[in-house]
Amino acid sequence: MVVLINDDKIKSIAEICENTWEPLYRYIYYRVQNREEAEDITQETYVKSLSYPKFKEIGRDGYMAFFKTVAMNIIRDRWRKSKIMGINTNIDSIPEIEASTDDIADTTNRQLFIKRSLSKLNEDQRKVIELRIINGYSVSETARIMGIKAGNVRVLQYRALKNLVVIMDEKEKLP
Amino acid sequence: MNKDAKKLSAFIDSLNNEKEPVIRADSEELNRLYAAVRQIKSLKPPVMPDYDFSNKIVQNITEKKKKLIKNRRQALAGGLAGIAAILVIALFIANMIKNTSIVYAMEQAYSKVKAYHGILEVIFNNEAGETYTQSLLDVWVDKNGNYYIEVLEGSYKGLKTVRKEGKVWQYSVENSVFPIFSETYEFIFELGNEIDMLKNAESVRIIGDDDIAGRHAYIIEVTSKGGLPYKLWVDKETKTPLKKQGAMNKAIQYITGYTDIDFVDSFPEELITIDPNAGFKEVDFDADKKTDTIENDVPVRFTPEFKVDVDMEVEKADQISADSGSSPWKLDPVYVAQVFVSLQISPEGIAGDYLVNYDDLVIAEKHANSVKIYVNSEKTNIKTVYLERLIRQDDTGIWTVTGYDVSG
Repeated sequence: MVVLINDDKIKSIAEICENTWEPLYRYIYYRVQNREEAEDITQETYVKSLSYPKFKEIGRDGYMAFFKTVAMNIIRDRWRKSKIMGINTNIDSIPEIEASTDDIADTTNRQLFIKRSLSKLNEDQRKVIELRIINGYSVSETARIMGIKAGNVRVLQYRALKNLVVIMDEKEKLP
Repeated sequence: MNKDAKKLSAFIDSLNNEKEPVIRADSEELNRLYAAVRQIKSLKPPVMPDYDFSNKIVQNITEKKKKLIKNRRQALAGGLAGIAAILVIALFIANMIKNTSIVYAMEQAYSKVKAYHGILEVIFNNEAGETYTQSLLDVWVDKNGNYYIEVLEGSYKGLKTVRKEGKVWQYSVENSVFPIFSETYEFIFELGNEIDMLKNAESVRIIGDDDIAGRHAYIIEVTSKGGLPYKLWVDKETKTPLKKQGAMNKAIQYITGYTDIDFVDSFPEELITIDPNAGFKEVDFDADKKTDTIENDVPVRFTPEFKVDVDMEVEKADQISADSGSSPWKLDPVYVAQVFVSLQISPEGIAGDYLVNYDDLVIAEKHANSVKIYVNSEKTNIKTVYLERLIRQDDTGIWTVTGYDVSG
């Protein structure tokens, strides 16, 4: 069967791709938190979406939601495969697509929740997380800034994160 | 030290280096810690890809499509027609994305430019295929809206036009000023304007490759809303427009291009140092001089007391003329209002000066596609003129009077 797409349709697809890659990338990055993986998944999302036979039947307003759904499925697949390979990832910790339609509100609430949880840690634990994870310093740089040994940085951040997980779990159980 | 503490640290290092983590989490607890690290990292803004990422997406789509088609060809020997159609569609889609990507790449490249200096050649062809050089201009431009243009060859040889801090000054060797729109104020190949026109164009299509002034370039066909298609040559390496070829209009086709261009941090101060004693005169054709008014991007439609009938075919033709450099005053709403009011006073035509002065008209409100102009003249009972951009809604769109009020 020969499928014909007129110029307007093609132009429309091109425009949507051009206009959506940045928010789509941000959506993916928010979940994977590294550029390499976010770039791969963004590209794969477009390849899969544009190959979808019924893509042209999706309304203009539905493109972004469709891309996000495809991206989310890719993330889930990749992380499932990782689990088989022994790299476990808590897939359930990823927010559901349905719950992520209002991205800004969802993200803001989530960030507020994390900040409040971090504020419950003691000063050293909070500082090591801030330096290592938020500011992105290496273990040796963090050790130098905090005036402790590199081994102690690893132990401190490990304990800090374990405490943080407990705090977050308790907060999530609250009504 | 706990093995998990080391693994966790390596996981954090991967994310800090913007790499996909490949560190095994062989316990539910470590898995939960990994998730917590990702959540904490979400407090930071994302690290964005390089500016050409959209190009990479295009390449990736094209390659994947080709591979997909190859696999299908092997599996479905009889389905050649379908495969060919898929290839065509894939290439079409990839090309369309590539076409919009080139605009994005140009925009990104231009955002890093501070100023540039070039020699701009303006030539025209007639219908008989004869080519004439109209002018050769020495052009210096910066991103603050300042520029210096000197006519090196052409009718106004020696004419210097300087725009500095919103004011335009001119100097000519005969000590007389020639306020020629098309060669001075609206000089016709400003890189930022060209890229803005691409962003607002109805269609942008890469149609081929060419070598120009020793540079490899894409040839792009651009169709502006309500305009005739024109061609733009874009340097493949710097993503800079090098040459523009307009459509043949009224038996004339203009071609403008930089024979030489350099990107610089700033241009020599002495070029824009104005000495009125040396013959520089401030000229009064800067359309921006009245923009100390309300202006925003929200489309607003006014309701005038009297509506003016508009012949859209005439407006379309005027837009094409303005695109090719004719009637540039149609791009200035105050000038259009001045002509309209003068013709209302003297419908048989205007001989000599306009019957209302340019300075008698004041922009009261300026929106994205509409303008309200007050008329302060006792020669007319028209108090307010309303104009709209009917053909194209950007800076290259002509203004049309759509109504007026007679009560104040």
